[in-house]
Amino acid sequence: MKTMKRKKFLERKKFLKKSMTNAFKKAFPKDKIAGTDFDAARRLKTSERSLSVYNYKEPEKSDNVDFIVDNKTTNKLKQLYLKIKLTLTQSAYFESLFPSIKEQKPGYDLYVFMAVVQVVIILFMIVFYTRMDPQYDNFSSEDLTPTTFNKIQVLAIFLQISIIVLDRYLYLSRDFVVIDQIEVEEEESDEEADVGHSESIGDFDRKKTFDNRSLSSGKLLIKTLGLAKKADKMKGIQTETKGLDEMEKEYDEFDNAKLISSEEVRLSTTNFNKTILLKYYLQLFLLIVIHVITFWYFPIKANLNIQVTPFCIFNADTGSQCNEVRKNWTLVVFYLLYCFYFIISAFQIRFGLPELRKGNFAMADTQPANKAMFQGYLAIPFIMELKIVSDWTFTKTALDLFQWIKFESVYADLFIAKCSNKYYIEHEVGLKEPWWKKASFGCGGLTILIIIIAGPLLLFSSFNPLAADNFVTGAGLTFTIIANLTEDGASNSYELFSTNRFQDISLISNEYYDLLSREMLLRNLDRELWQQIILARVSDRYVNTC
Amino acid sequence: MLTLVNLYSTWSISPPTQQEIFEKVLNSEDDDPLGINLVISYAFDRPEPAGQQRVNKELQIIDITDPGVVYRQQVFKFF
Repeated sequence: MKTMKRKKFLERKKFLKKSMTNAFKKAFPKDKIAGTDFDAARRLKTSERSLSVYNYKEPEKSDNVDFIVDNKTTNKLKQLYLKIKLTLTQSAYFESLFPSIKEQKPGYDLYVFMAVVQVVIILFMIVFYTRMDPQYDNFSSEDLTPTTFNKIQVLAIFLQISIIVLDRYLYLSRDFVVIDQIEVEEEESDEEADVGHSESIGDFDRKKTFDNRSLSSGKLLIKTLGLAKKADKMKGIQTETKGLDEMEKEYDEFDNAKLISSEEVRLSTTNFNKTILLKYYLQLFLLIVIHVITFWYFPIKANLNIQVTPFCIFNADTGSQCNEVRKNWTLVVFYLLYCFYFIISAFQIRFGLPELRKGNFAMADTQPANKAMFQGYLAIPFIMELKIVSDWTFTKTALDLFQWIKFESVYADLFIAKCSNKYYIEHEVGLKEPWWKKASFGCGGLTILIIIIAGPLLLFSSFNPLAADNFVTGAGLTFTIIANLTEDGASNSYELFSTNRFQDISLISNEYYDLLSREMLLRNLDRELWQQIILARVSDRYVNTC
Repeated sequence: MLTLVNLYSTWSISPPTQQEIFEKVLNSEDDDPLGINLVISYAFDRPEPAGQQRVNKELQIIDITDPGVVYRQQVFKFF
């Protein structure tokens, strides 16, 4: 922000105060200030105050439509076109729906709910479209190849996706930059008058602009409450307005530190733009289309296929196949889902969009649930990519797509880090960890690690109750003689005896075990598993008695 | 304990070769540098593990020309 000379600053400030005072005195009749209940208005928190506090601007354009049409052109055709255009864009209805003061529509971000309902509608159409639009007797190529989707179904799903994309475009392309442009233009005009100070638009400080915007809305509020206070005094009511003067003082101090221009109040002014108007007409269009296809197109099309008549003829043969809405639950659910969408969308138009986006729906807070939701959202294949590409496409930005991807990636990482670090921020420095954490994470984790390390040993030992004794079921014996021919290791190898036939396999007796124990050192491991095998004395192969 | 006496051998080799081996074993001297080695291997079968039900083991090779080998005279007697 550029600075200006002290004299000019004081002049502007004086002019501003004078003009605001005059404007508010005229424009704030009692009946328009919070329903004339000043005490109630003051008792409310700032965020709870009625929007009607600011509703002081009378419609202007709608009153002047005829004047504009008559004076703009003399051509009747152009006049008709102009009248239609102004009627569709500038009427008293639109001025009340899209007020020109931003504070009148602070905005609620309902896009997430709209998108969720739209996705549910798409899923519903994928699964149940063939029931909504049944093909009873017309065989098509899809009937012969049931693994493919119906082409009309695919078309409908693509149209539904188009509506989602259009909604996203409308959501992203709201044009609050108009406000900033006004301010920049003011600066530029100041620059022309005030040689020696120059600042490029590139140095435009968005945060300060936002502060100015907040400042102006705050000033409006204070002035409003100030008027209410004056009105109370006139009524003889002495009420406590604690903090009001201090707040005004704060704002005045803030003014002294920053540039004050005569247009600061206008910074809160915005025009309803084409995108919000487009959203309004999209809502109207969808209302008509959905009602037509739900109550007329689907039932009539199916009924013509079944009964040759567009309406239902209830009889024993065809009554069950009638595709009237009340007979087809999929049409009812489809209609209800779209009603949800219409309600949310209507609220979105009614309340407007907030000036700043919250970002992702899960980013409203840094609770563990938000972190889990966000990580779950990131884990859904291609959702993040779709969002990134659509956001980049419909947002005014100087970043290229790859920078935008990097930007979103960093943003996501920072949010997860913020959620993860919340505990450490809140944790008092030097405070010992509680015992239950030691017991759960410490002892529990240690136990799990030991089980992981030593578990396989237990699993493959005789401690395993599922393990059965693995007794020997057969045996063999081979004798081979190797006669070395040279000292280098060359040798002849001849098999002397070989048998795989045993005469007896049995558990070893205690007597024999003792006998063996006397002759050799035995490790008494699994004594009960010891077996004695008596092999045949005859070789299995070629016998040659010696 | 293994007893080699009175076993019925395989000896599928030709008689001249048998004779040569006999002579070689019988004429061998103690601590003969070429050595006469006897290899004893055994095997056993078991149900588990399914992929390796037969296990083959080989005992340490015995040089019967080594005077320290116990029962080596029985081997000579066998021949």
